[in-house]
Amino acid sequence: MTDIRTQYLIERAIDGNLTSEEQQELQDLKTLYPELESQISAELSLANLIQAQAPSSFGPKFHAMVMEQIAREAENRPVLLDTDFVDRLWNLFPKIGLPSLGTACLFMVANANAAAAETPIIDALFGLPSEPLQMFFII
Amino acid sequence: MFCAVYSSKYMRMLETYSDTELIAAVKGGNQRAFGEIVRRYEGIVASTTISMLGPGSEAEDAGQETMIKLYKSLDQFKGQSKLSTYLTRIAINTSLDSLRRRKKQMSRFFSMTDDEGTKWDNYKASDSDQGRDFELKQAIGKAMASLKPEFRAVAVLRLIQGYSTREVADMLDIETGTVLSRLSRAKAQLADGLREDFRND
Repeated sequence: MTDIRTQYLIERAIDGNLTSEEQQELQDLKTLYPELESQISAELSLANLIQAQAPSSFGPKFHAMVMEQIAREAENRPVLLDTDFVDRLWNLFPKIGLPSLGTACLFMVANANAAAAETPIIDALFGLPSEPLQMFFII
Repeated sequence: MFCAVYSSKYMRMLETYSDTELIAAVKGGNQRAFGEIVRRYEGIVASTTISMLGPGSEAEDAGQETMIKLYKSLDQFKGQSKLSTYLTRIAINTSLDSLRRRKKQMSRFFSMTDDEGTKWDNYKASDSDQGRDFELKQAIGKAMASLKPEFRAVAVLRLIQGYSTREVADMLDIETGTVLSRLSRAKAQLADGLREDFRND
């Protein structure tokens, strides 16, 4: 077993991330302990061997089994609006919402000026034909 | 016919999606996008849980549990880390939980023995495992199984998944110094185990 500092340097060397100071420190250690060189290459070989032989699949049924459970989970999961989607919707407002609002105002003015309108405000707001609204008479 | 063609074209399209795009699609209720995440990351989850728990149903259950936990927690995933890192963290913690449950069961039933090493004896060779490769895989699996869970977790994250010692420390919520000392002991034990195994052969 190596001390923690040496192990740290070995790991950094394996990753190829040694700074120039660390490289010098490791070089000094190698001069003191020549067996360190072979230890580093042995550790690198061990890591490569273990990584290459690691299992990489559960088998053909895994995907289907997970998706079956996900389908059950999804039934109870509320669909949330993605924040990007909400942002995009909000950005659309100046492009679509404002022109629509402007057009609506123009219609409102035009309708309000219609001489035959018996309920000019309501007609102007909704663009309705000039029929008296019974509801207001009841009230 | 049309559905099958459309479906395969759609799946091919999902393959071109980035992780971020897939996550956004899943959040919008698209289950097929999650299917693509499962396909993309099964290897990482399999190598983590099988190396931690040995081959068999326990590792597969932990793998499924990992994917379900990911699905449930996707709303909280803000993309600060890579999806693979996030998933590996879930997989390693799920495996450690599974080992704790196993230990608890063993202490309750005196007759139960830890069969971690023997699991690798029953491991079946897949088509891709040929001859010596298969024996080597078994030997590595047995050597891994001989490590204590906390040493094994460090070995899996560092040696198999290739994370830096600092990343391993973050994932396991321990000090980097602890990772280094566990790693040093784990490597020595693994090398001894493999040497022993091949000397016996």
